[in-house]
Amino acid sequence: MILQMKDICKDYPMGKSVTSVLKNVNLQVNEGDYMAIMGPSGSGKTTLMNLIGCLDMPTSGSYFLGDRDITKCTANQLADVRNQEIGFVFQSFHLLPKLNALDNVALPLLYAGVKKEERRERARQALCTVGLEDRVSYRPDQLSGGQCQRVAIARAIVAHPKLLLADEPTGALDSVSGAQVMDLFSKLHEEGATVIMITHDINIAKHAKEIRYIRDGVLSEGDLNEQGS
Amino acid sequence: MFENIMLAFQGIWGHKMRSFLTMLGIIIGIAAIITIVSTIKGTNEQIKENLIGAGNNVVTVSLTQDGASGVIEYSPLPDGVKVIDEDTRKELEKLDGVEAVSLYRSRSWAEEVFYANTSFTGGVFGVDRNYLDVNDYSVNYGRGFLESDFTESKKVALVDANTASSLFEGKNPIGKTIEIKGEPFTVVGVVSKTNASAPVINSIEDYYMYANTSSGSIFIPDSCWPIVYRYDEPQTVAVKAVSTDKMTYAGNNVASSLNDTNVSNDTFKYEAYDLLKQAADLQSLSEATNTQLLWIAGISLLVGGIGVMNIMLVSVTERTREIGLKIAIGARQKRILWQFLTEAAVLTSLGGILGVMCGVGLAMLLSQVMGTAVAISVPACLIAVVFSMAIGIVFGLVPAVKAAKLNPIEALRRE
Repeated sequence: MILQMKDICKDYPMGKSVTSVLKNVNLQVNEGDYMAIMGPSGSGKTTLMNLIGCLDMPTSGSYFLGDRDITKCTANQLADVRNQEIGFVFQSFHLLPKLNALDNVALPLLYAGVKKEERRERARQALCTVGLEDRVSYRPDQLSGGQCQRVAIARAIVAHPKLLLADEPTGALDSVSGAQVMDLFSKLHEEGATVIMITHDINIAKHAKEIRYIRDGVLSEGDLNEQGS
Repeated sequence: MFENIMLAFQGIWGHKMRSFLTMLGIIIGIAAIITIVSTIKGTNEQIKENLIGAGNNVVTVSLTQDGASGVIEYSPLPDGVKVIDEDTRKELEKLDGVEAVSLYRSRSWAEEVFYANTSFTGGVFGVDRNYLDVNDYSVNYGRGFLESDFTESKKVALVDANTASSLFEGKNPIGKTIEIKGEPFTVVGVVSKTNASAPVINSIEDYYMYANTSSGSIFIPDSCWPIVYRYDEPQTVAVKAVSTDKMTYAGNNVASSLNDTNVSNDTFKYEAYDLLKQAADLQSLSEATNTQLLWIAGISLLVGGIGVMNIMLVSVTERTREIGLKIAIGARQKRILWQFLTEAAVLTSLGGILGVMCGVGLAMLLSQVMGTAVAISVPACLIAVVFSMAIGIVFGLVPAVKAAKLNPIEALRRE
């Protein structure tokens, strides 16, 4: 088991009252899973993703990523977890505009303390995996949206993380390049990657092997995809 | 670290105009400080040079009574003070820090000295065989002193160039007879300082300070001194030190040695006339005014630092998304902190280097245009650069902490 969340709650103070965004969320992800979490906006899916991605801490509940108790980690440990065990793919790519594709992809390795030569080599391999070996020295503004997202995926996989976490990965793309990106996720999944995807688009979610729904901070138990079909 | 510096240069280069304007505060402040420091140092060296004479290294040791000199200068040698003879002089030359020793008696403002009807203003010196060498005089015309001048007490005199022009008004003084207290002396030569460093006169104060040295001097053999002035007067010792820094040391050595061997009366004491100390006194005077200028320049650095802080805050805000992403993919807070601290430090260090260059240029321009003495201090330049780097770190701290403490979720959401 890669990820286990038990009774996760997240409250935000809103003035004097408290808003519960997540209510007793339970989530288990095994190695090699490909899961989509669906929900309308305001359902709490982004909050859930931030918690899974160790960018935020739950108000209560327990969260284990591998053997590690995330709720007991220090800020530096969380940074290392994000660096080495989670690969992020964002809706709006978040590439650094002044770096070329290779340097963008190599960035997580820099924070992992990998030597420069090895960083470049591994970044090159990751760009190969996403099919952009001929765009190594292009800057983001010289790449199309789909290519940018593939660079971002290369950056997410370069450190060989336990978990790929994608937030609306096709949200900013046209349908053709969106399909390419989804094919890439399927390919990575077939090669053994564990993927969690947050989306509100059922057509995207259908690429996953398992779909969970979140509504008003409550995550559905079990796989509704299989029940529905 | 190296990566951070490269990153910082990229950031600065990416905003050339903004970076330059931000640096401008630092550049102006550092340039002002370097200019002021150069001027202070220049003035100090000029004072030292004027007083001491470049490369001459001569310090005088004279007899004092109850700590005051001059009172007993023109009187007979007091009880308990022996004449310094040739053997003693040779012993003095063996002391540590001493290169050569010469003995002389003098009238700083000699009266009753005439050539024809012209009255002489200046000093008369009764000197020994070593005096001209020790004080770096060389003979321009005529001849110097001969051994027989001393042994036979010949009434011959050497004059310096000032005397030659003031007393003889451009006529050849060789062979002319001057009267010192009614005694006729034949001028046999004209001498001048070999390494003459003419005092630089910038103000009326300077003029009075150095007026002494620019009046004329007449030199006669010391064996003739009693003929003119009747007494065995106290001798003054001209001590040539091995180096400028050793002047005080050598002078004190000679004074204490003389006090041991030649003085048996407690009220009298040989003391070294400490030119270095006098130079230091004058220097502190000129430094006091310039220190105030330094404070004003320091304020401009403060303003520059605040400018840097302001721009760094803007930069952090602009790069919120970049920072958010870096935190999200695993950059520790410390790394973000250092990235911005480095950028601020590189920015201000660049400003410091440019400021030093401007300051040096300005100082040189000042010395050309205004004629002020200027000396560039390499340590001051290095300190200025290090100091501007420190300004970057101090004023970059607030923006850097702000960047490191960003919440990645909100930072990534920012458009």
